[in-house]
Amino acid sequence: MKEQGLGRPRDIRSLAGYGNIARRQFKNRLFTGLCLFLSILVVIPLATILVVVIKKGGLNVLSAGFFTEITPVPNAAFGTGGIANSLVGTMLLCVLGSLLAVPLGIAAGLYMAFSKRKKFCDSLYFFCNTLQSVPAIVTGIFVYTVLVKPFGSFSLFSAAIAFALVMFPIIALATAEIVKLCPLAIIEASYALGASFYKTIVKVVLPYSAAGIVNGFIVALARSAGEGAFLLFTAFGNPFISYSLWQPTSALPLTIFQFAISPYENWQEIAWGASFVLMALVLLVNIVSKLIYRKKF
Amino acid sequence: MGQNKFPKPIKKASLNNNLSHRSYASKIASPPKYILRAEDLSVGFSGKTVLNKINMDVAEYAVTAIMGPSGCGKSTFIRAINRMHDLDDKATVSGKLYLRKDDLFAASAMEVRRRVGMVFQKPNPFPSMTVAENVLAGYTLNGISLKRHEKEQLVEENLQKAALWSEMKDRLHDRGNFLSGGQQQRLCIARSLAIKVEILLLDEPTSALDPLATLKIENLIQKLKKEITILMVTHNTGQASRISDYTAFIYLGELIEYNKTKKIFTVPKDKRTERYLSGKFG
Ligand SMILES: Nc1ncnc2c1ncn2[C@@H]1O[C@H](COP(=O)(O)OP(=O)(O)OP(=O)(O)O)[C@@H](O)[C@H]1O
Ligand SMILES: [Mg+2]
Repeated sequence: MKEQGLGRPRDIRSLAGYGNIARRQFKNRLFTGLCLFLSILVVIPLATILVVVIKKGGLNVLSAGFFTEITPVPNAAFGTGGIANSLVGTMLLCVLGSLLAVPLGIAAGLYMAFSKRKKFCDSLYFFCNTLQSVPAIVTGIFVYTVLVKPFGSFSLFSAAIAFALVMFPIIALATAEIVKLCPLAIIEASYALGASFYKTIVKVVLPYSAAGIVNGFIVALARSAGEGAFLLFTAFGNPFISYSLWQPTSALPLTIFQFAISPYENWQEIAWGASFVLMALVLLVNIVSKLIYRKKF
Repeated sequence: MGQNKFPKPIKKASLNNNLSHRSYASKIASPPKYILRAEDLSVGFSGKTVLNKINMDVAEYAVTAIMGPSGCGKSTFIRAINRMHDLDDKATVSGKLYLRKDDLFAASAMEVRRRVGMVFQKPNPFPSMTVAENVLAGYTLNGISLKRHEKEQLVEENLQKAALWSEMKDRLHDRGNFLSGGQQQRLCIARSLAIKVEILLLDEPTSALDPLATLKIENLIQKLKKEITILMVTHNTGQASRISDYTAFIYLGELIEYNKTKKIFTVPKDKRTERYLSGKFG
């Protein structure tokens, strides 16, 4: 073979003494140290938030009725009242929002991954990406304009729609990405046994991608449940437990926002407690998703 | 029983019974009793012809090997038989294919694939299913529900046929993708056998396996031909001469020579066949 000056590998022996080893090790250490320093810098605010929330809110949670009682009257004694109405509201939102967003999100994701109508898929992809980056408060105003104003009332229904709108693009994009990783070999194997597209999806592709899709769902749920902005325009808040679709409802982020800026100290305490609960929930959900993901891959 | 649950194939077009009219290329020998017939079968991808007017009859209850250099269109040919090209928008298929008397291009692809099994080069058991579930996958995937004893019987019967029962009988509920490569490939064969296919297509089934696993599959193929027709692609001329009854040689998308394996390997009629067999190219 013809020797080429540039591409020729250097003689291995000459590499052994190449460069100043001590200097290279120093540079290496410098770089590692810098990385560590920057990581700590990032962790500090997070850790501070955690510590403050636990200190200020952790205690409240321990009070007897925190999970079972509803919003106390302003200036009531500390330790009376709780966040039962917000918890119920958040649970209802999670359930209703998921019922809407999960089937639609998975369907859209599958469509984007498998449809041969490339143009439409690209538009759908673009739509999901855009929707994902729309600030939740804008989603809130949108739902307010099309659902709350015409119906004449804030409601659980409108909040659930906004909730689902936040979840949908995350689930759809996660599904599309994860489903594309399904090996062509097992999809072909399924077709080769005479399976239809539908059966192939349900019995082969979805089981293969289940962990990834569940992970996407959980991320979406955590994001949406922790979001307060759109609730201002849709759920509005409710000091009582409400199960009605057409009534305003409370939810954890809403309680935090409204009570933290209230002048009443007992309400501010409740806001800290609710922050603690919300953070614990989101953390829990994230840990669960990581566990599911790790088990599979 | 399971095998009765598949819908009877609809006879869409019947073959002209008087076969002697067909013009054969003189060098193509027709086996006495065939199950599959290709007439002027051509396949192209985005307008580029890859397989050019193949005429070939495949003998029933025999092993037919397809040989040829890489890229000559072997996989393209057998994938046409179970309509895999339907999945590819770029692929265009023309000509005729008959399985017994049924026009394979007139039937629905799903129906064809239930009668024509396919085993791929890389073993591909379903990773989310157990060994037993893999054997029964053809039924699950076609929405056919079986009773418990039917399942047990099908699993045992087909693992037996695929020479896998003794190794697998205690591992039926393990995931299919934790088996060795050779076991996975035999599991894939069992999966096809379980839906009682009439012809089994194998695309270089042993090229990803070590010699011992290869030997097991070769023995299995020899045994299976008593109850099923086998059409296999192989790169390995030794393998073709060991286990096949008929051999087809494809070169640049053309069927160059097709004859009894013994004839092809001893007195090849075409120069290119001779050169391929002596290792001059491919
Ligand atoms: N899906 C496809 N799209 C475009 N071209 C294809 C496609 N599949 C095969 N081809 C082309 O068709 C030709 C024949 O391919 P084929 O896979 O049938 O070869 P082969 O004989 O099986 O080769 P090998 O022995 O390497 O497996 C090749 O030139 C290949 O590039
Ligand atoms: Mg091939």
